[in-house]
Amino acid sequence: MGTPSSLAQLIRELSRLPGIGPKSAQRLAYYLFGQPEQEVARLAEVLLAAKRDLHDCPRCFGVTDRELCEICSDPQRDAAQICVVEEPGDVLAIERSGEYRGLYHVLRGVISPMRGVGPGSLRIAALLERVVPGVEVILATSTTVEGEATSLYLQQELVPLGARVSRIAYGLPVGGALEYADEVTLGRALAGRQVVS
Amino acid sequence: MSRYSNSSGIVTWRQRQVNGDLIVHLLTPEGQLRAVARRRSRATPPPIDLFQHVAVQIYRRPGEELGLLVQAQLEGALPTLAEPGRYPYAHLLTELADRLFVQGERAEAGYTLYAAALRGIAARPDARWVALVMAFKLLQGAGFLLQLRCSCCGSKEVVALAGLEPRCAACRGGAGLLAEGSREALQAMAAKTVRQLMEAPSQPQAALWRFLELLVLREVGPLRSLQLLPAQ
Repeated sequence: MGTPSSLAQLIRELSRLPGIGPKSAQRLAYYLFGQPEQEVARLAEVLLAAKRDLHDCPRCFGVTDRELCEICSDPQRDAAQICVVEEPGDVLAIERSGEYRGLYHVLRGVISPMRGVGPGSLRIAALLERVVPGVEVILATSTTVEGEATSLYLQQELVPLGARVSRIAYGLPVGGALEYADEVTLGRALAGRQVVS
Repeated sequence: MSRYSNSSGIVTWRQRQVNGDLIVHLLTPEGQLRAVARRRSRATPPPIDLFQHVAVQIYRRPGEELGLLVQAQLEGALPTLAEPGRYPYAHLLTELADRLFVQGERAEAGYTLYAAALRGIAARPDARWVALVMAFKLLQGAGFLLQLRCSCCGSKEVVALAGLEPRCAACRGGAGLLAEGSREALQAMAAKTVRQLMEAPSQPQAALWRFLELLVLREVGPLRSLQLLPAQ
């Protein structure tokens, strides 16, 4: 028995999503087929609404469905701290930590000449416009060489503006075993050690 | 034949997929190696970063181009390559080496040159000069030699360049004259060793960069990193 064409089309479309292979797409398609019509309609509406309503926050370049994102428009947030991250997903990761109450700035990438991404392709100019003397800028780009290079470039640009610049700490992940850490991570963890008594 | 193989090389490309997998290119003495590193727990990310020297174990089924990266161990890293004065040049040489030495008999020499180039850029004060010299040497290593004879008559008295074509005074036509010292600098680049060139940087470097751009464009095609080099 051949696969009905509408089912085949659904499987094909689902398998175009990142991380979804043909078998997962088939399972999802049969799952959706088994759901009540209003559930499927709700999912379709949510997808369309997200696509229609979401846009970049004009201040921090995170994702929002308002004029300004919730964080930028929250008067309770500490405006004297700006945490610089690579992607909107990084904002959610830091928010989950519950340790930070300042503002964010999303660069939308990292400097990578091989990929054709120079400083001009990122939201760096907008960051520099936001910085006033005395503000603390926390550089929370990743610890890859691209993240490091972007962080070093930003330090060069931010210091003359009178900003206090800090970098997130390097080191061992919580729950990670020392034995499996590479020497660069261990070296940085030792260099960045903290006095406890 | 075993489906597992061990290799050691420098990471020249690293592309994170949306599902968390990582596509990696390594330049090894045997040529380019491509593999995918499956997503792992966040606590133990694979120690694979651009410009790092890593030893890897790859699992590959017969006929598959992309192997599965099973294990990776860091063998060496050059953290100073992230500095703004070095980073764009490390990218240039990496993009160039990644294009030039995919496979073949020149791969081992190319790998040695590329590794030396990264070390030079990481350690020496004038990363721009190191990059210029090593880019020419990588091209030479891949068989693209500098031609410094008139492309019309074969004369050694080159005074002008028509694009990449050297021309003598008689065959020059409308071709632009070489800046003073450029011909000697180009000759030195072709004839001298890396050590000699490092000890006595040639002038004018702007003309050499222009010539390198033309040579790369002709022999390799456009390089993104070359377009994004800081102006000097």
